[in-house]
Amino acid sequence: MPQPLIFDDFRPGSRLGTHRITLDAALIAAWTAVEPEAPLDAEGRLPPGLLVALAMRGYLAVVTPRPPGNVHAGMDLAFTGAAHQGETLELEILCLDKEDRKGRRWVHFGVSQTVGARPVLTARLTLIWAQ
Amino acid sequence: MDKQASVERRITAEEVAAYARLTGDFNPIHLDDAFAAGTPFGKRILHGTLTLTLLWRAFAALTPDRDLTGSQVSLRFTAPVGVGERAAAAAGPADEPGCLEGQVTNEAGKVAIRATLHLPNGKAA
Repeated sequence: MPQPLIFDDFRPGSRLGTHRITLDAALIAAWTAVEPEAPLDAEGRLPPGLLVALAMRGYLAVVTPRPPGNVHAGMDLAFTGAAHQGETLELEILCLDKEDRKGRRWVHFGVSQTVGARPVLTARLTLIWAQ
Repeated sequence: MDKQASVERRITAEEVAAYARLTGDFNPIHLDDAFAAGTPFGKRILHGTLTLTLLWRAFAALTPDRDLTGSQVSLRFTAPVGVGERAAAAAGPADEPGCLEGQVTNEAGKVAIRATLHLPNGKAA
């Protein structure tokens, strides 16, 4: 069984991996089970809450295994374009930065979402890493 | 615009399980009562980005055509919300022109999320 990623494993500026998600009807149905009041709009665009959920999915799929006890402290999001049902979302996950402050290990990850050449969402995730 | 928006919601265990399947986040702090009882929280808590759905509802009520394209959001998760507990979101104009600010509070009245939304030029808040 692989050992969890630890703070020392991360290299600021490194590309950690990619993930691909098909924005199909099953995915939209899964979202609606969570948030019935934020469906697709009339143009079939995914709502912000679903884009953020998919950013988390990409991060979790690539940055694994993680140690127990990590804390998700914050996010900075830039919504740059739309994604629509039927398209394929490409995600790239980076380690942007890390710092040890007074014994707390902070790691900042970047998640970039695109559909083809169209940028959709850039997310900066801030985690307190447990180990 | 001086409009304010507020939203209340209790996110159920079923919705938490659905969110875990959607994101692939099966951390037992969200899903396992026995595990969660042994954590500092003492109970199951919502995924932070699931709690955030309340704030998206509040921001959407204040955003023309509910479209956030061109917007930037900065947010901090500051306290947990328990599964099945009441959470409330409130949003309104920030001091800075063109910005909205909002927060989610948990059932104990603690701020669980604090966020600022920077709207693109031409979408006045």
